[in-house]
Amino acid sequence: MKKSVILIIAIVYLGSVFIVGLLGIRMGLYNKTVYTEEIIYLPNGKVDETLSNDSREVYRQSENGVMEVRYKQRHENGFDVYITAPYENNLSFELKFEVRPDNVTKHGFDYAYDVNKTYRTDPETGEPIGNGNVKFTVNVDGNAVITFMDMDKAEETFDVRVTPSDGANVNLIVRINVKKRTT
Amino acid sequence: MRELKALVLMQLKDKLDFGFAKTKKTLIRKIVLTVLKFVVVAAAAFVLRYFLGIFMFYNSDTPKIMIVLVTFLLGISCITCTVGLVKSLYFAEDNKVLITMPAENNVIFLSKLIVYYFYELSKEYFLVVPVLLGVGMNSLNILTFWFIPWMLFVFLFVPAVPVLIGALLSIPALYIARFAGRYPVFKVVLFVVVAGALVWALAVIIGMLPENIDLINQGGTVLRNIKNFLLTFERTVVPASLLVYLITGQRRADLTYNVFAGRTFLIFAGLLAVTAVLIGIVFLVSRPLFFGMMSKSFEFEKKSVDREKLNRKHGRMFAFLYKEFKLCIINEEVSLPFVAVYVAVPLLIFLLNKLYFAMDTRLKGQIMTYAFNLLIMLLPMLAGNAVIATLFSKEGRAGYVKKTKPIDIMMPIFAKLFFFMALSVPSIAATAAVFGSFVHEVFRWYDIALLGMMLLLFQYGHIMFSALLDIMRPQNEQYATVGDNVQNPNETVSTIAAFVISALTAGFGYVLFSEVTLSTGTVTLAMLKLFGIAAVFFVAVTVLFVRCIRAYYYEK
Repeated sequence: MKKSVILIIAIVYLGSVFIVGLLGIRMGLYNKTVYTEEIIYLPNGKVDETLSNDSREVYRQSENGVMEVRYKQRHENGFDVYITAPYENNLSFELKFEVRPDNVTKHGFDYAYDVNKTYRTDPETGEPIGNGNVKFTVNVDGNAVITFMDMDKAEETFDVRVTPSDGANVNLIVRINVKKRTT
Repeated sequence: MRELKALVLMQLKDKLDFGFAKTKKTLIRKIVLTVLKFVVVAAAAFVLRYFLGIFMFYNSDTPKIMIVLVTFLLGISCITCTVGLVKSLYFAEDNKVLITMPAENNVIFLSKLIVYYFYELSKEYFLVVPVLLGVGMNSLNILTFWFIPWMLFVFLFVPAVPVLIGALLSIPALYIARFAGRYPVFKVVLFVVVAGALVWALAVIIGMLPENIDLINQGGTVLRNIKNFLLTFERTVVPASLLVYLITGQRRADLTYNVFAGRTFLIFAGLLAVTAVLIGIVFLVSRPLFFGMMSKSFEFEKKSVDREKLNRKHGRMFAFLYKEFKLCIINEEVSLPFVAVYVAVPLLIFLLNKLYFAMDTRLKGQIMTYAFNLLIMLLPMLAGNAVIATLFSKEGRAGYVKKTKPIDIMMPIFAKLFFFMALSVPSIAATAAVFGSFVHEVFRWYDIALLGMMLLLFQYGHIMFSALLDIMRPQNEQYATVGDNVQNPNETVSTIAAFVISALTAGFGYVLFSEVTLSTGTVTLAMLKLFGIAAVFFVAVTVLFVRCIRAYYYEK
């Protein structure tokens, strides 16, 4: 076979791959936006097999008695994650989440909660506003930190509704219940 | 000097057919066809580079593309020159005459090299030069117009390099050829090793393929990789880079090229120096061996018969088949390229479909892949049949004896074609099976069987067509005097026919697959129609073949 023939066959061969690759490919959006399909709570404790079952996963932190329960279906009382802990002054929880799929275009979360329960200060005077004793802050990585301060009640329940920043119609509700120890 | 000139002209007359210069009409036709051939190749290269320019490359990438092309084309030239010079220097029929000439061995040797240089010059002027010209013309805004005449001038010297490298390599190649001739097992081992290396290389390439190929979304990455490859190639293959920058000139700060820069002339001087050094080495190493080797090839070729064999009487057909089978085994110049093509085609189809199936194609894309599969199956297989268009002429003057045999002429002709036809069966079966393994969800077993038979009919039809070309326009005298390096027009026609048949089949395939896949969801009807087209082609060529052969051999 002459080299010109080999050259032409090589060009036709590569050309066929390029033509199919450019003109025969399935239509799709270039740089399409991938939205969040699911938000998953990442527990801090270790899984407790004895309390976990088909409908829930239970995690415990042995050092401070925190128990995290992750429900597979939303609980009848309207939450997906239930966290309980005995109260200590300045008790803090870091709420960490991740999204599915991994390649979502816009990462980040928005949090909704009852502002009346939160500890706030007047931006001008710096004086506390209202009776709230829960301090809610968002880290630079987008995760939330909740701190219970100077709780005068025996029990406090704080609900946080987590939605993705990309506007996808999914959410996760975390309920945190803190009780003072009874002596 | 007069001796050299006489020897060169004598051999050139045989090697390059100057029959066209006899009359004004044929001379004009030859000039027009030659210019047309040059323009067509240049235009094809221009168009290809233009489209690549739209998708991929800037004008500043042109010299890098030229470097890859020059490396590929001159690399193949070195191989073909080595093989060609082994035949031309040591095994050519005209050696028997040249050796009796009243000329020194040096002059004979030099005349052979000069003749081969002219032969290589003509080949490069009709492939490498128009290809580079077509590619370069796309970037005339950075390459000046002067690069064109300068390139035409430089390429008067360039062909000397592959010829001289070929002359040097022809010595070990000759020893290998002689060794292989003495121990035929060596040829088989060599072939198996090369085929094994090819399969291994293919496995490596397939291993490197990404799971998902999306040229549109991954375009940036693909382009970056291609450009990195071109840059690395430019830095690594320094001789080709220097040659291209000799042609284009040196780059200025504003990215344009200056042909007449000082460094250009320095590289040109380097090219002349390399040529001179190569001539010196060739004369020191090759020339002393030339005369001995040249005479050895025919004076001591005849071996005494080690053991006698009984002259068994076979049936007529079997006798011819047996003879052709032996010739097929002995003459690896014909059989090996055939076997190589037959081995390569299923591998090419395997790799092609691996690439296609890594792409997320829509229906139109799927149909495209079927059509391109048809094209890639047929193209190398039919293009390989160009050898058939030389088969009868290569018999040289012995070919005329066929007319005197008191038998039906179809018998020796079909016997000659039989093994090429038989060899294509396993290759086509493997090709169809490989294709079938990828498309089994759409193509049923009977569709694949139809595909195999269709390929076979096209192959047989084209083999007969190529044989017919050779028989009706014999080049026996050329092969009898020059050897194998003949510019055989039948080979060209056979190759063009291979391209036309493959392209038309792929085109028809695309239309038929589009129609039936959309309406019925199966491809059986399309396969039946394609099989019908192949059957019509086969029957038409067979009838033409039989009639022409009968007319040619039994004219009244």
